[in-house]
Amino acid sequence: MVSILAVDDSASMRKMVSFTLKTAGYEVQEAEDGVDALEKAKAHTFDCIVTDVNMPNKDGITLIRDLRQLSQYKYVPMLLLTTESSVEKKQEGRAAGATGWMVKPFNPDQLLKTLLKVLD
Amino acid sequence: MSVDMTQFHAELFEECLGYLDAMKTDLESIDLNAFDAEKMATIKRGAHTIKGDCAMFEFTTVSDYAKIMEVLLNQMLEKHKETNTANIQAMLEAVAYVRTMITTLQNKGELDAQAAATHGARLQEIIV
Repeated sequence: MVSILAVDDSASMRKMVSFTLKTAGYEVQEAEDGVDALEKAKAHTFDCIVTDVNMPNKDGITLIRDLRQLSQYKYVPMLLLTTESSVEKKQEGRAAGATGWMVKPFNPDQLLKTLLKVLD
Repeated sequence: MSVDMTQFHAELFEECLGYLDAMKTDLESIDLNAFDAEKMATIKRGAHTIKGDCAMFEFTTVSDYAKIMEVLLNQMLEKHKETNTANIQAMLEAVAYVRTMITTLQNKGELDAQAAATHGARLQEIIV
């Protein structure tokens, strides 16, 4: 089963993403910010990371940059979820190592569709 | 796939009220003589999160209003000179207004989008 780490400081968003992914058959763990996510990602290697960008303690772009430094995450798909749609921010995400970028608001179907793309 | 988004509403509302409490506390403790960029960034993140989360759950009246707050807070963050007593007071009133909207939603009430847009336009005028 594909395991995914869902990262968001907003509990309602995290639960919505987690519920959607679990209902679609994925195994999901949650993290509430980049620091929490990095710890969990070191303890268990996930097949995919789905993370918010704007979070306290460690933002999503820094998290991806840090994860890419770890050999087990060099090629793991990482999807950023954000309200930011500026080209500069997207480039920053790409440069950090993000595989995909999804602008909020989106619906559960759009999330699953994009996830399938990055997992392909 | 059909996901019943209403199952997350109670948590969303509680979360928004928590952000608003924190924003109010931070705004009230701003020292105009010693600008605290970190504190201002935290306040801005509160507005950003309310904007994003409410948009996700299709509460666009709240997210549109929070977007104005975020833009103005960003302006206050980037241009310290625009952080003054009047602007902070306006932002405190905005926080209170969002609180009213959230509690209305909690009580299954309807939001007045036109009133929110008017309030938002007034907020924009006060600060810019």
